[in-house]
Amino acid sequence: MSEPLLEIKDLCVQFPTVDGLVCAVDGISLTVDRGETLGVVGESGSGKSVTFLTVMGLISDRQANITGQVIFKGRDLVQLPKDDMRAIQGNEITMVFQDPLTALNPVHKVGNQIAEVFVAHRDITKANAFGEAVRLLDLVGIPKARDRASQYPHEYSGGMRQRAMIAMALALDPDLLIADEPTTALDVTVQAQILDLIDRLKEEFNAAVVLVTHDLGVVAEHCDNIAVMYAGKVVEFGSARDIYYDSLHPYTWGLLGSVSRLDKTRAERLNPIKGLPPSLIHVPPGCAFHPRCPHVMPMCSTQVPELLNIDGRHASACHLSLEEKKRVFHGVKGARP
Amino acid sequence: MGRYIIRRVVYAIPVILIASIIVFTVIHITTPPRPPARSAGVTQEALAEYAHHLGLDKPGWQQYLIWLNNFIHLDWGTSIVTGRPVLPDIQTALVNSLILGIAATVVSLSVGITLGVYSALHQYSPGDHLMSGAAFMGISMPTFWLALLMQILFGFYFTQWFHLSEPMFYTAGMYKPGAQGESMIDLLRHMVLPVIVISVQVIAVYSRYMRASMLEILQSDFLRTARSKGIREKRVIVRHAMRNALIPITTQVAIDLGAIASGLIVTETIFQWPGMGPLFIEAVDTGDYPVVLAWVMVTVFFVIVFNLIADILYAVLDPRIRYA
Amino acid sequence: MPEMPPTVPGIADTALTPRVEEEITLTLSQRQLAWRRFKQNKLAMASIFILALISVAVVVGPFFTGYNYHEQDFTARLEAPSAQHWMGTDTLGRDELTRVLYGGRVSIAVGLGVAIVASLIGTLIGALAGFYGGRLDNLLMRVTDLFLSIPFLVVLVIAANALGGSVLAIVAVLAMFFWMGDARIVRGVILSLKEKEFVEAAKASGASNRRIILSHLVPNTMGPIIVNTTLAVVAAILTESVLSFLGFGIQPPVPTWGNLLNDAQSAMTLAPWLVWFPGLAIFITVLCVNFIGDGLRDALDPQQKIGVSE
Repeated sequence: MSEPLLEIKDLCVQFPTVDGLVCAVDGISLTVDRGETLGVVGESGSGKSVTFLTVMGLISDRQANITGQVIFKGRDLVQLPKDDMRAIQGNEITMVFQDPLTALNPVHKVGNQIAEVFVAHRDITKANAFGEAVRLLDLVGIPKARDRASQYPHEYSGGMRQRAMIAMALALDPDLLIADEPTTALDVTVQAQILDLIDRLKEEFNAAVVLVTHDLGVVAEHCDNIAVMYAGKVVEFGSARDIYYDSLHPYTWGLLGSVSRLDKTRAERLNPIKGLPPSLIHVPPGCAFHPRCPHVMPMCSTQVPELLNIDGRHASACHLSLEEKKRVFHGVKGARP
Repeated sequence: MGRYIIRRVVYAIPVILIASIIVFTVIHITTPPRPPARSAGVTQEALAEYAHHLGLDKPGWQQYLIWLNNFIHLDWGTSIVTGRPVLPDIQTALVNSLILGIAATVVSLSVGITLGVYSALHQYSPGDHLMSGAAFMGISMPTFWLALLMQILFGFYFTQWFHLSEPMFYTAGMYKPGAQGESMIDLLRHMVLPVIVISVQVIAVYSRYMRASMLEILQSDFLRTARSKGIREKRVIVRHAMRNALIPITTQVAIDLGAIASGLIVTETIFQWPGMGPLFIEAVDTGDYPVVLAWVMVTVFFVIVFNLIADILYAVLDPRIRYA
Repeated sequence: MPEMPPTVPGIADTALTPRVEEEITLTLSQRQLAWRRFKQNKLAMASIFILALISVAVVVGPFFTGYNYHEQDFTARLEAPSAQHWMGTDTLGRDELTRVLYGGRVSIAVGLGVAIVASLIGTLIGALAGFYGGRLDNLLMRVTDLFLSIPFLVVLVIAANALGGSVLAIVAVLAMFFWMGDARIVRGVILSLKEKEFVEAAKASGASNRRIILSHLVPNTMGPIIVNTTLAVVAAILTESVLSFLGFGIQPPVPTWGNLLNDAQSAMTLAPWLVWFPGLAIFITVLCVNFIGDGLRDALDPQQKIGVSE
């Protein structure tokens, strides 16, 4: 069994603010294998983006207190000196961001922004780098790539901009591509295209992908494994099949119940999870989800549930017993037995 | 892009024309051309003759058109007071003002941008607070007061304290009396104080401007993208952040350059620098109508042209507005 | 060169306008919050205190100095500061302290007067332009653009020269130029608010246009207007002093800080202290108003701290 590509161990990220200490990430452990697609699902404030911004090295130790380890190809990125981290960024680990309009520099040509990655990491002339950029734009499905490369971001459509971002991220054949809500800012029809693009290119480039999103529908088709996050912790982890057909956490049940599905009948309504996301400064004691959990027990407000492996790699952080979980899940309307 | 420029230029022409009409009318009303009076025994016929000579008995619009025609053909008349042709005097004054103005701009820009960027990068540090405080003082200080203080300091106190035979930096004029344009050093020594006085306020403004602009850009998403590509931080700051943050200040500089012709009045007057300032004050004081008229027209023209340049510069620097 | 202070459409524009869209609606609790934030700004609070001192001094002071501002005494000309004359005397033997205090009355009054009149006119015009839009808006904006591109001091000198040097004339002349900054800002705010839903709601409930403008839109422009007005006070005080210094503003014997400096200039080498006091007075007053304006801007429109996005 080969070593995982990325191993996050007990990562904690806290931001000191005027109002108090924000615990954005509160003890997360995850692994990503080579060539795997991991989906990370959660609401705003769940800590999913912060986790991977930290992996990427974009959260400095001046901004936040970071503890724990992020082991990538045998090296702990948290302890890595800046120059070494820079050699990895854009090169071995790359990132695609949520809003491609603001994520691209408005005053530089798109081709040059892609070429910049080559120039930063390889010994190559600017002209050649530009040529590579054109090739990449073509690869991601942008018509008339040569002309388009000399244009500016505001001249592209939303979908095209995201393709350009993907091109930029795949430029140097990275081992790990992190996509942070890559489709949230796009039209529904374009969303599917972008996700399919990522799938296809992932195969070609043999990269591992982390798909961070709040949208369960997105992860369904495209991910091998899924981690569900809440209030800075992973509350459930498993294969895509596990999560959809055998889910073992009340929060995941809530998410599943609130997804609109084509196979739901008219009589079955959307069930949003009641309550509001928790404050990250004053996280509820015990299980952070307990104020909103329909199956809450007395111990939930005092003891923090650990993420325990239940079945192979399928893990859940909840005090309910396995039998109780299975009973509830398979009795929930809309879930398949 | 070319069409944008052409459109802007074409749009500026009627603005200049309208401005010229307004200028002509206003000056005509407020600084009516007076014949050199003060001599006893000026007869009515002589006055009428003079008025006719100046074309004052023609209807207003005709006077305007005659004047406009002359102006375009660079015949700007002669001064009522000195009797000299107006154009060469304005020309010299303009050059002198530009020397001072451009020197001050160069100094202010380099210092101002550096301070502003530094402040933005080290927000809330003691250095930043110090600079903000200094900037406030710079903006609040009346320039003419600073000019006077400089004169006192350098012209009076320093020479006394250090027993100098002449001031380190001169406090009046452009060259030593009688030594027109001979020595560069002489010129520089005369320039130092006025440039400092002008620059103090401009640096304050530019550094605050740059700081605000930079702070806003520093929150941009595309900087995060740039860092995620593994680019050196210095390149991120310069090529990505500053390249965007400099846009508003560049257009402001273009506009300020246009204001040089008319904006140094007080400093030039105090330091007796023979630029556009004293020329204007003198002319208004003595009711020297042709000079005032030509002066205002020149300065307005300058302002409009440089505003145009600022617009075009903006489009060159920011591709997003080229098709607006 | 911006030798003149950054008048109304200068720094105010850049720092405020990007945020205006977001932080517009001031509910009552937000107003209290803003006041609390303002109180935390030590510089601004100190400035209010100092300004209060200055105001009291200029209003009451002249009664206590024992001299009149035009009382000439040729036996005591150009004296250095002493026990009898705390700020010395000027070229005609007048007590400088009294003149500085009295001059303060005029300078500050002009500053306030201009700023308030300009704000009123500017708000009205800006509101009309923003609300009714269309040709009226276009015309007004073209006019203001034209005025703003004309060299500022130049026109003032010419206008002041023509109209004479009374206090009223100067206030009128200055106000004529300062209203434009306010108009621009108010128009901008109203334009951005006009599209928002609460205006639609008000219209749907049958409110008249005038009512919408007065009770819904204008209150929301208060924040930027207040900040702008403080900047206008600064600019007005500085402008008046420059005009008076050049000899085109308020004429002697009415003292203003500006023409006191003009007087001082002729006796500069003999009595340099005469340059210090009026200039210092302008400097400190303007500095305080600037700090207050900055404090107001921070209080009414706080920068969001860069926090976690999720």
